[in-house]
Amino acid sequence: MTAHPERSTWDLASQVEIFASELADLYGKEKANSKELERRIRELREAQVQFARAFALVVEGRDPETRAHLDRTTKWATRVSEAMRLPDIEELQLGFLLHDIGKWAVPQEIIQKPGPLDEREQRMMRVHPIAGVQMIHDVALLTPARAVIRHHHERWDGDGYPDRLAGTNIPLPARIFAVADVFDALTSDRPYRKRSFTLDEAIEIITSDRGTHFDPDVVDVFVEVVVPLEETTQR
Amino acid sequence: MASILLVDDEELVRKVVRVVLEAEGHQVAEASTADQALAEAECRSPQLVVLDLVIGDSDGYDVCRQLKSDHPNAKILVLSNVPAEESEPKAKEAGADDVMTKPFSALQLLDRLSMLVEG
Repeated sequence: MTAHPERSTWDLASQVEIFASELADLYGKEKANSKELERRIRELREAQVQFARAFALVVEGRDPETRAHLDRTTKWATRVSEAMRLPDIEELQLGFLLHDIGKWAVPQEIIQKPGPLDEREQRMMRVHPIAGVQMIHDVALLTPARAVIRHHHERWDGDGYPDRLAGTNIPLPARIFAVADVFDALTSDRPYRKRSFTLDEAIEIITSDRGTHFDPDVVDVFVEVVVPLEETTQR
Repeated sequence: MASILLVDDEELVRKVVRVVLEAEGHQVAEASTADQALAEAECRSPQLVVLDLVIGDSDGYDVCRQLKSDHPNAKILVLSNVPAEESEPKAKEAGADDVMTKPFSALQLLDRLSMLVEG
């Protein structure tokens, strides 16, 4: 026996309608949730970058020139990494910002010496990549950053330090950062020389070091994406 | 997590409710006839039964009464397709612990079932 079929409030269509509207509602909420989650992840990533930058400045000194060097080299290396379609660029950025934190282990008088370093001083200076990775050894977040910190002074021809790696044995982010680092050293004022090089002179220098000091592909991308950027800001 | 027996002769309703209940971590068994319902209840001893009062030619109230006498600890929520003021007294008298009117919201069903489990 069916209970009062004539007064039934139910048919399948009305039931499906309710289920469908509940589904739409849930979908909308889920969408909003995932947007909010994405926003928070972005915020967190920005916070990580800001924190790494602040940490680097505490270690290396808060002078305007250090800050400008960090920001320029990080910007350039990021642009090249993007152009070369590297994955996990946010994590690499942390490495770019922290590349020199190992200088904490190098005496200030060597870092600030207004002239070329003698052999003993050079040896002490060359400790900084390994000192840097030791400092961040336990930080899982900085695992991708390690390669940049350790290897940004390696040379394409194997004549760099600390591991004398050559060619593609040097992690690509470190090869990229090496070009940005040297380019910035050339184009900014340094205590040990009278004036910085012009953009054109600096381009000539890094281009002539293609395949010796630097990865030739990286130099090509650097000249293509970074130089136009600096031309518009400097000229 | 609760073990729930879902009794409804409309397959689509069973499917939707099952997805929602399982997503909440409940264990769901289904029946589409009164005989199946009694047999499933016998072998699974569910904590909760969702019972549509209209299942084939059977009188849902009789099924409800039978389930409650066989399994006095099981909570029974009946789905009725007549207005609650008509069905509720009769359903409660037949042993139902809660009554919802069809068409019903799957999410509300979930809330009511949680209350039955906790209460």
